[in-house]
This record gives sequence, C-alpha cells and structure tokens, in this order.
Amino acid sequence: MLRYVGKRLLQMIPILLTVAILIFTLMYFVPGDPVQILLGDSATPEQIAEARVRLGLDKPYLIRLWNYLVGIIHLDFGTSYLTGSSVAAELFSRFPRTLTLSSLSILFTIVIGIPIGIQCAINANKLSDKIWMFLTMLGNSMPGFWLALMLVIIFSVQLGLLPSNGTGGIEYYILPVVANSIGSLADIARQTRSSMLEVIRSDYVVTARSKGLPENDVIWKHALPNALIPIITVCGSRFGFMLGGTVIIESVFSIPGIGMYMVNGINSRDYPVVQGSIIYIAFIFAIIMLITDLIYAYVDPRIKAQYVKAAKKA
Amino acid sequence: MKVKRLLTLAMTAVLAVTTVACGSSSGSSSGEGDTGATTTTEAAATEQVDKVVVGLTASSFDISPFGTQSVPRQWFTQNMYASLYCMPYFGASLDEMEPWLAKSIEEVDETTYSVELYDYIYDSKGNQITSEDVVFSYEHLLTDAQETRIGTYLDYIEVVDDYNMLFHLNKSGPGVMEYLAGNYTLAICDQEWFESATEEERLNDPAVTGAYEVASYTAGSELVLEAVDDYWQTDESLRNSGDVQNVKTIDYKVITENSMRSIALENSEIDATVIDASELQRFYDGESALEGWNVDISDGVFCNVVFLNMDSGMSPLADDINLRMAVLYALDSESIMYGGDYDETTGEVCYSLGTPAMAGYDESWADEGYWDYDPDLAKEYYEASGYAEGEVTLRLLSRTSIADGIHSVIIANLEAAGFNVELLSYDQALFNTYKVDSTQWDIILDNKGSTGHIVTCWDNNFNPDGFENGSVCFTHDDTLVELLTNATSTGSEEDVQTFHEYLQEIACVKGLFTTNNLMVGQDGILELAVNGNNLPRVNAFVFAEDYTSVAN
Repeated sequence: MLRYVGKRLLQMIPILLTVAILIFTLMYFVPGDPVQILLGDSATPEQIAEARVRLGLDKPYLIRLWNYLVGIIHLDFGTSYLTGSSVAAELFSRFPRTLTLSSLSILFTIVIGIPIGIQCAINANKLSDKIWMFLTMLGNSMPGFWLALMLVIIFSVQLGLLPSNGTGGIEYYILPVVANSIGSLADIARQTRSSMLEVIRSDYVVTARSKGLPENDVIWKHALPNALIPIITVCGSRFGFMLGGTVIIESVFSIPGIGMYMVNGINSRDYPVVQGSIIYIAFIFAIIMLITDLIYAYVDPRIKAQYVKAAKKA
Repeated sequence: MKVKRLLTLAMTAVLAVTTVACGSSSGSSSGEGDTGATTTTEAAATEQVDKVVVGLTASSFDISPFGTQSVPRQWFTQNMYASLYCMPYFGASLDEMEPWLAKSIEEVDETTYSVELYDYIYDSKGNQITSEDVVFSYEHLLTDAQETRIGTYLDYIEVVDDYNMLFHLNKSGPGVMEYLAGNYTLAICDQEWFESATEEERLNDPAVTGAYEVASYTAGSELVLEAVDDYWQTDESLRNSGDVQNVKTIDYKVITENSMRSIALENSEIDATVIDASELQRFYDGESALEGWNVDISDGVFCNVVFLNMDSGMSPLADDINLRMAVLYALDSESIMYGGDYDETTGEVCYSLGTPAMAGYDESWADEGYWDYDPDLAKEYYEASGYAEGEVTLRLLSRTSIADGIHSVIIANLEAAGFNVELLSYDQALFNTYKVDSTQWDIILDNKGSTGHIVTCWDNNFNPDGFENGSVCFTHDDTLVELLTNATSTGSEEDVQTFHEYLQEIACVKGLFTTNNLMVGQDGILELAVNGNNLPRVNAFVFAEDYTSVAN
C-alpha cells in the first residue's frame, strides 16, 4: 500500500508540471493587460513600458515560462502584482479557512445526505421517498447565492441567531456550511439511493435476509459497504471542488478563502495569483483523489487485494 | 433499529426545516426601524469613543506603506500614514489644505515649492521622519504603489536640510501641487525602517506616521486600527481632519456584497458602511434618514462619460461631424442615469467632462445647452450625414460591471436616431486593453475622475503625452492641445470655459452623469465625515454622547 501511495505521489509531479505549463500558456495568451489595470488611466506609455520591464512581462514566452517553472520547483509562486505579497504565503494563510468551510460542508453533506439516501432506498417509491426526492431536487435547483441570502435573512436578520458574515468562531461557519452543502447533499442523497437500490435487490442481500439477520445489520453491514464506492467517488470530487474555493459562498459571507483570492486575481489579470491558485487546486484535487482511492481499498477488500497483487508483480 | 431510524429521521429533519424556512421567506421584505425621520439634535461626544466597526467594500488590498492602490486603501491610508498636507474635502486648493507632516508649503515659482517639515515627527516605532524619508517615500510611491501621477507631476525633490525641501514640478496648474502635497493615497514612512523590515512586518505591522496603528490584520477579511497613544503631533491645535482621533479603535470588516453590507448594518454587525444606490431606500425616505440611521450623500467624483472614436479611417464617426452630433444629441443623460437605477438623490447629470464636485466646474453649463437630448435633431444630423437608416453600425465598448439598464437606454437612444449598435461588454482587464486600440470601438462608455480640479480630468484624457495615439479618443488636434495647456496651467475661468466650448465644437465626448457616494451609519454617529475623495474618514466621525458601538 505504501508503495502504491508513493507511486501516486510521484505521478503527481508530471501532472502538476503539465497543469503549470498549461495555465501559464493560457494566461500568456489570454487578452487583458495587467499593467493597464495596475497603473490606471493616468499612466503614460513610458510608465507602462517601465512597469512591464519591472514585472518581467517584456520577456519572451519561453524565458518567462522557464523562470516560472524554476520558481515552482522551489515552491515560489511569485508575488502578487496588486498587493506585492507572496502568493504562496497568501494561499497558505487562506487555506485554513477554506479547509474549515470545506471539511464542515462535506461532513454535513455526508452525515445528512447518506441517511436520507438510505431511507429513500429502503422506502423506495413510498410517500417518504417521493417527498425526499422532491426536496433533494429542490436543493439541487436552488442557486447558491440565493440560498445563502435567504439563510442570512432568516437566521441572521429575522431570528438574530447567527452572524451574517465574517470569520471567527464556529457560529460564523454554520450558515456558509449549510448554503455550501445543500447542492452536494442533494446529489449524495440521490446517489446513495440509487446505489443502495441496486445493492438491496442483489442475491447476497436476499440471502442475508433469508438467514434471519436483523434488517439493520442487512442494511448497514451488508448492503451499505457495497454501495459505498460510487458515493465515495461523488464525495471525493465534491470535497475537491470545495477545497478549490467556493467563490459564491466566500463572497456572500465575506470569508477570505482561496476562491475569492483566485477570482480577484483573474479579474485583475494578476498572473502569479491565478497560476499559483490553480496549481494549488490541482494539487489538492490530486491529493483528494488519492485519498478517495485509498478509501476504496479500505471499504472494498477486492480493491485492496488488487493493490497488493499489483505490488507483488512489481 | 428504531433508534437508528429515529436518529436518521432527526438528522434529515434538519434539512427539511432549513429548506422549508428558506422557501417561506422568499417573498418577505427585509429592513427594520423604517418609521419616521431621524433626529439630529443630539449632543456630540466630547471624549474619544471606544470603537467603531465599518464595512469595507473590497477584499483585495494590503496595508504596507507602498501597496498598490485599491478602493479600501482610499479609506484607511490616511488613518495609518500621514501626508505632507491633508485634503479636507474633494477639490480643495493648496491654500485650503491642512498642514500635517509639513508645517508649511510655499510657492517659490510656478513649478517650485518649498516644503518645511515639523522637526518632531516620529513614526509609531520611534523613527524620526526627515526630508530624506519624504524623498524615499515619493520614489517608492511611484515605483511600488504605481502612483503614476507622481512621475507626471514631479520632476525631483531637492533636499535643503533635514526639515526643508524644494519640490520641482514638471508642470504647473491647479490640482498638481495639491495632489503631491496630500492626495488621500500617499503614504510617507521612514526609510531606515522600511529597508530593514521583513516582508512580514511591512505587510502586517508597518511603522505608521498617521494617527492609527495596526492592532490586528487578517488579509482580505479584517483590519483593526488603534489610535496611537503617543502620536507625534501633541499640539491639539495643529491636528487636522486626517489625524483627529475621535475613536480609539477602528475595525474595518470586509463585506464585498452590496446587499450583505446593508444586512450587516440592519443586523447590528457594523456601525457604518458605504452602500449601493439600490440599497438606499432601506435607510432613507428620499428626504431624510429613517429612524435609527444617519445617511451621508456626498457628490460623485467620477463622471460617466462617452467618448467617440476620432481616429480617422478607424470609425465612421471620426470623419463625419454630423454623425457625431447625431450620437451626442441622441443620448439622454437623465434617462441613462435612471437606467442605471440612480435618481436625483443618488446621481446627478453632468454638463461637461467632469462632475459638479470638481473645482472649476461651472454650474451655469447646465443652462447653456450641452447636447440636450433631442431625438429629432439627432435624426436630422444622421440624415445629413447621407447614410440610410440602419446603415451605420456603432461598436459600443463597455464593461460587464456597468448596469445593463445603462446599456439598454444608450442602445435605444442611438437606435432611435437611426444607428445600429453592437454592444461589446468586457471585464475590466479586457476593457482596459481594448480601450487604447482605435480599431476596437466607435463609442466607449467609461468613467473619469480627477485629482480635484476639472482641468486635471481633462489633462488625463487629452494630454497627448499620456497616450500613444493622441488622446483617450485618438484626437490629433493642435488647437485642442493648445487650449488644454492654457486651461491646465492657469485654471482660469476663461481658459476653462474656452476648453469646455471647444470640446463641444469638435463633438468627441459627452459627460453623462455622476453617481453620489452613499454612506450609512447608525444614528449614534452624528456626522459621517468624508475624506478628499468623498470616501469615509472614519477617524473624524462625530459621535453622539450616548453612542455605543455594535461591538459592545
């Protein structure tokens, strides 16, 4: 298993380098001049030219790309054109907030979504199933921005129970987490229902029931583990997206996370910020996918056996 | 099994309650305390109040002395960093400005000013500020903070001694020395400290020359400033609006969403903030603030304006004055303003390239006729150009951040005159790139500011030294340049009037409207002071005797 993890980590290096080259190339060719934004209307052509030299934007593509890749190898993502601060330091300081928001959101999603899905599968096509499926469809359809505002109006303005924005204690994360989770929760509930339906109709579940096992054991010990693989996939990718920054939620609730940082960078063509953020997202996503694969092995012995077999062959 | 089922149901019920609650509130209105008018007869606090929490409108900024300019920095720079003089209000002349680090600024000749510093200025870390620090700061403001006007206006600073300097300017005229002496974004700091400080110290705990120092700072989220206890200016009579310390702690909280700032106000999470015009009715009934609130409406300092492409051969407008006149008569400034969701309270029609708040702007221009909306005349000019209706397509360059209603009215106005219009709406970065390219547009919708005097607005847009292709709209007109030089160097009524009239004669630009700055605070704040750019000057807020911050 360790060898597998090591191999996957090594595979991430060419992936991240490819992402770095791709994003650098895209930013190089995308129209929009960062110097024009930086200097504003009052800059003369000479001042614009000087700023380009100072920022290294006058150099040819290959030299800039080389400098950039050398920087990345040294974990130096450059400094923001706008604020002059280190991109790596800024990402590092914003990461805990995005991680907190994402972790709580995925936890909320799993804790609520999976039981809903299981209940729906057990009571398939009954009234409760139909009601929950309707509600999950509603959850999927509600725009995050609107939902966030509605939550604020109800729980902050009308009821005065929770703060409407900012960061601080856990109470500041309740509304953002709920707003951030509803869409994912609906997805996971539907995915769980679908996987469970497939599994509970299979022969080994029928056998378990015929042996007289309690229904709870049948569902939680026999059916659920076998239905988990697609659910874990959805959870993993959802968590990866959340860690990449949930721009709308961060913006509405004024949480200075990775998403807001990257969007500000894109709007102002702050190349180091955009490039650094995207490499960070690629890295996080690759790590989450690795963890997802490891969880597959944990919940499904067949997959674990495949890893072991592959390791022995190697 | 039952227990687990109950547990499952309980957990799922959370979702149900949340979802149902959200749905039931979608039609309800928010806002509270909207009954009656505010009273303004309360006594002001004579002592420094404890705290004020203010909502900042943007998250992308830093607090180092020479950080790149951004909207939040325009709010707090002068809390932290002193300038030579303080600009008490937008458009103030040098005589009207208040001494700060400089004891005096005297004109030696048209392009030379002598500046004398106080000899007892110390920053918050105990470093003394001398002439060399001023020179160092201006150099870094130009290169690091991208204060490009310094490069345009200032030739060099000659150090006479530790406390005396001579400012040698590249150009003379209104707004030039005013900008250099005390623009609200200029920061002066100690050279030795800056060069020895780590990046961490510069970005998070800078040595400040202003009346407030950093208590805590979370990038993109919150900046808490505390009044400097041993502030260098101990003579109260020499304090100015930039360094009064009416409040002990200023807590700037970033809330970027317009509606969320209003909610934060109503929810008592902040004491004051700037709001969008569409939010004003929650706090203002059209004549006065609603009960519980204080509202400050300051004149807009940016003019929303259309320029017409004057690059010969690149646009049908450039070589045909009839077409240009058709465009300018077709545009109804007032309707365009209303299209953007502004009204006479939140906006004001402009009658030149500039706003009524700018010094030098002549209010009588409104009565003189400024391409007053006349669709019939616009159509006549269009027909006089010899084109058939719909034959001329104009590319309107604009930004995605501009309200759709503004675009809609402009397009409707122009189509009524016989034009076809193609709207090219881009993000700020692309807009900035395309606006200097004469092949990309025929009409551009932009907003333009000044350092206080209207001639600096004109200079920014028509001085050929600032452009690779003539001017902001690609004019190559010697008379225009000559008249501009006269207006910018003297600022006299006659020269300003002459240039204003010449702009009308060549029909290349029309100022449309300005949007006012709207600030709302709880009614414990008796006066919402503004700085030299009509943005909040929080340290100078006037508080009621019984003021209590939402933080307490």
